[in-house]
Amino acid sequence: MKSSPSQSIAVRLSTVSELLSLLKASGRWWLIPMALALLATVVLLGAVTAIEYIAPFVYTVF
Amino acid sequence: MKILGISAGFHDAAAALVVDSQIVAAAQEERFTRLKHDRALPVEATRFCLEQAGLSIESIDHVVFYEKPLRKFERLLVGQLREFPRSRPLFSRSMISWLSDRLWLKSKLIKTLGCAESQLLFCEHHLSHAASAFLTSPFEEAAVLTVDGVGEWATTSLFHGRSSEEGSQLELIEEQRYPDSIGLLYSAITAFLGFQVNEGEYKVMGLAAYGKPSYAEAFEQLCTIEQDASLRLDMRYFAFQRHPERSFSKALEQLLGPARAPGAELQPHHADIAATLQALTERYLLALAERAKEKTGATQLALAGGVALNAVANHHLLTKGPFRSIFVHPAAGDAGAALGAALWATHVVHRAPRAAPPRNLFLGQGYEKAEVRSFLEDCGVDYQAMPTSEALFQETARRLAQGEVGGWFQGRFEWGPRALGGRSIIADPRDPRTRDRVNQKIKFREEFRPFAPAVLAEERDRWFEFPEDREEHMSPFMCCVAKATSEGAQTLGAVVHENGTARVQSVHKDNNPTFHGLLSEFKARTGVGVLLNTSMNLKDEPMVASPCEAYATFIRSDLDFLVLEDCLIEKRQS
Repeated sequence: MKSSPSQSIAVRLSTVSELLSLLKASGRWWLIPMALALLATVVLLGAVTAIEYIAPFVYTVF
Repeated sequence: MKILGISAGFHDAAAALVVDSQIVAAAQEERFTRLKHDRALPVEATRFCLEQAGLSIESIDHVVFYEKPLRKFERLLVGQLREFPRSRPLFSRSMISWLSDRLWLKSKLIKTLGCAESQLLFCEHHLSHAASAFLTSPFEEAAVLTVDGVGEWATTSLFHGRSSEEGSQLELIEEQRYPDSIGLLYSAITAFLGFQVNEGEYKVMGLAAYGKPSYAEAFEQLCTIEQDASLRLDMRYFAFQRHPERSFSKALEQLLGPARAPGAELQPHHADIAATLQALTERYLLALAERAKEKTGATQLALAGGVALNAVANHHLLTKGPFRSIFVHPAAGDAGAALGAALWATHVVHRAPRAAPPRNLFLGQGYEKAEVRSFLEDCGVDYQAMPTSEALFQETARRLAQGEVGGWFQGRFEWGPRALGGRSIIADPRDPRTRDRVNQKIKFREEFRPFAPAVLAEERDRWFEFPEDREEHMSPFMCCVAKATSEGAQTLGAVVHENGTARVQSVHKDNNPTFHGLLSEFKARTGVGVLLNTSMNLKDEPMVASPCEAYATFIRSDLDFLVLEDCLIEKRQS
């Protein structure tokens, strides 16, 4: 059984959603901004790797 | 109901398959990939389990992962923030690893194993261990203790297990949380003594027999066992909470002296430190057992988690603990949690009634006699095919009685880290020189490491002392040591350790008939129904799985002969 790219993204998004729910439920909601920042970094780095033509503009972010 | 259990990610990845409450197959990934403690998703072990049952992944009702990775990630964030900024090196390394890979386990399972998201379930780490212990035990009610390094948050847990026709339940009574952990303390001292963490703990246990617990005062500073059996570590002495490679701090070296470099010569004080650690572990487990008895009122105890592989401490629990009956899951480490996760989904989630406890744990891959012969003929190996089992036992026993050391490959391979007569190296246990020969020329390992005896169940008490008023379910799986009787200590020089004990395997005719047949024949020749039994592998390699790997071990070592099913191969003719 092969999963399509859109299914794969959906599974990852469900993981992010579960993580945020877990942090909220365990009373550690204050970790949510940090988790989101870390995940945003991953998305950014992933995008840089995947889409080469946006790479030159990324340095401005940092 | 068809349930596949999976453990992976840290060490000892494994897969286990339970179909209609029966354990059909279970194996560690390392047996197939030949990478010791392989932690990758168990693709090969899963393939084997499905093939063994003739099933496809689509036909499985649930694929159950043995822990909850998101809760583990939460613990990492909290733990490392507490230690910030000293935890920076660990934080950057673990975040790279988690954000690029481990956090996305669900996607990986779907992509790698080919299952659907709807098939996936996640069980908690210690609950998986508890299920592995309780649901393979002969008990319908028991206190269940799980003790290891750390799961998601828990490092030690106490459950109350109950089973009936309406299913099973594992009620969490209380738990000890990270960072206070006897498993992490044991690992830190293992590293301090120059051994590899997750590999050298057995060596520390073996080394302890050569020392005296003379560091008790220093260890009092490292940790405290409270009245309620909880453990408190003084984190000044440890670094595992902030450092990616070091598990102990400089303060520990100031307390115990300089750490031993890996490979450096062992000094008497190293053995004393190991002995003190062992004594502390035994004291902690005993306190936990007393607490478990008080909280559950049960008379039986089931035990799992990496610390439950400490066969010396298990003996201490059996003889000095409050329970009349004890069972330890033979694959007590993380591999066993794959089976536990599958059993949890079967009996706790789906409330299926339990089948009879497994009679043996030969759950790995087996090979037909024709396959073995075909392999030998393809490789041009001369072999002698034995016409009957009796002829095989007689010829093997004759050689062993003459002092030869042989490989013994029969049936499906064992579940767990112990060789129980499926993939064993066997020898006459009477001559102490055999131990040195097997250590130096066959397994190429440290000379202080002991070997275990396999003994006919019916003459176990002739050679080893087990308490008469206690019932143990550990010796068939080599999970417990016992003191040798005076006759045992005098006769069994190759398998009785420095402190007069041995990690005994009692072999029963009804659940291990082939090995029992060999032991009976050896007894008929020598009057001793005992054999030295150690796993068939060379140093730092996983135990062999296939005839090819067994033959490779045979030709690379000083083994005199090899038995592959009904074929006998001699070194000088091959």
